[in-house]
Amino acid sequence: MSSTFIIRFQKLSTVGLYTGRVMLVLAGIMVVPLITSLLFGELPIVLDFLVGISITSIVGFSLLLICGRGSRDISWTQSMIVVSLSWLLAMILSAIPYYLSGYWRSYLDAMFDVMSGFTTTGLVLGQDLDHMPYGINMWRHLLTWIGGQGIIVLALSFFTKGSPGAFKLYVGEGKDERLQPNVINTTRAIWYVSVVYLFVGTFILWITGIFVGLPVIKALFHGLWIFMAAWSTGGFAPQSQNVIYYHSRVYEIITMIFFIIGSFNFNLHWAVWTGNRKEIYRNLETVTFSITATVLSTIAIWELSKLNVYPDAISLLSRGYYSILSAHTTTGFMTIYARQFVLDWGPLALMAITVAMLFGGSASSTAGGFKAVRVGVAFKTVIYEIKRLLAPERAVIVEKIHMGRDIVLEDRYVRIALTIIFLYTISWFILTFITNACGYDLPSSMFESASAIGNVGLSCGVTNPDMPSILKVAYILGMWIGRLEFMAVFVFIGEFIRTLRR
Amino acid sequence: MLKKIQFNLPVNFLDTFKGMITEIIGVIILILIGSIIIFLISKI
Repeated sequence: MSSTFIIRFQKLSTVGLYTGRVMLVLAGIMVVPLITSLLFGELPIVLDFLVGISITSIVGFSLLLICGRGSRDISWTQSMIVVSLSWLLAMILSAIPYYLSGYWRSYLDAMFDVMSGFTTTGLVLGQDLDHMPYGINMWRHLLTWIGGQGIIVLALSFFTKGSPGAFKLYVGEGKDERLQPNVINTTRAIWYVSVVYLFVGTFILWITGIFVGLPVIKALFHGLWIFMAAWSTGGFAPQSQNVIYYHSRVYEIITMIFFIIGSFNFNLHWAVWTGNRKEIYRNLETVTFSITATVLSTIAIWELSKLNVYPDAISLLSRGYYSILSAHTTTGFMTIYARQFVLDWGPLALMAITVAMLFGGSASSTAGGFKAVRVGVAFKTVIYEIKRLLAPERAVIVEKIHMGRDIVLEDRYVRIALTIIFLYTISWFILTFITNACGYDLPSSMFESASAIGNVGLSCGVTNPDMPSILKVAYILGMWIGRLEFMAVFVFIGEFIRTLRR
Repeated sequence: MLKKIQFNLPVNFLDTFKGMITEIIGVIILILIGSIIIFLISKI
């Protein structure tokens, strides 16, 4: 009996040890908005962050103190639990400054926005965005930028010295590409790409912001935040009108370029940056994304033209095309007001944008949704089956996909791709059903649920502080499950139930 | 000189710059193709 207890405690200690480390990383990140608040003299917000840092540090150090003897070697099950638990704990603790600032009506609303940020969704329950302090806005956008790369990726990059279980934690967060032979260097490569783009993107948006008419300092911070939201395909913005606020086609086009690049696989960035430039038009994901984005845009634009929603090509481009690409890359930047999707867009255009949200961006990127690689594999499987049926009985048909190199399409790839697509679809149905049961019409329910489960952030008006609490909890779970791609969450829930049964 | 700066990763500033320009041009081409299709649809 006692030996069983000791083994169980040791297993829990390992989980606690790694979770504690992630919490300390989180406390460290909170220093950035704290400094921002200090710079702008927002003293009440400084106090809010001090409370947040203190509590998060206490939780982190307590876990290290209690679980310090846990094994550094971590199993697959434990790594999945660490990832799921870290994301939940991070949500609870990161919401402290939000709630204390008074811009969120309840702690649940604050946690909703944190999960929306970490999962790069972009749905917002915060109030009075237009007058939010710089410190809080910095925290909102920093959360989404870090969430895009992954909290665990950050912890692995700078705060672990090649722990034996690093790769398992990395996979648990929904990433499985190795840019470098060593997983620690892989995570550093991810941050290298992201930080280089951060400087370039912020600079371009800063200059554009000044030309648009923003004051220099405001243009700089808006450039930084909008870039963070674009790159992480998050969709947050410092103003309630989102991208509409800037009234600039140039600003819109720049954000469009960065959110599309942000939705690319980090493996693709790395291949292109290390000399394999042809990869950008050979890669299965970029090819799939280009085809699906063009087809879905064409369908939506056809409908919008037919209904004469936008009278000229420029409006179609900046309203219709922008929205479809924003949905497909799971960004959620909006150039139209929320209710216009349901009121103005016809059913075909609404269906096209919903499908775009579900398809999503690339695997191992900041984007959500099914992921282009799985959609590509599904299409390739259809082609394979047609070829097989048309070929003579004894012919051997080989279908290949290109992901950095040519890979033979094996049954296991098809199985994994279809399983995840199936799980996403089922989750979308469930979320749609819950939304519909809460009194919202079916098109709105389908749209908003796709937005939550696909980590998109476009809203047709369902998401607001007055929505039922049960729906807020359902969307939090949907965003969490969608971001971690099911497996880590299933292992976490399974282990939790098993522990309760003992 | 630029090629010697490494960040402990096998990539340098010149590669970074070329890679970034390649990605930006690739995305602009994609957006342009979409824009041409939209223009054609709006004229039908």
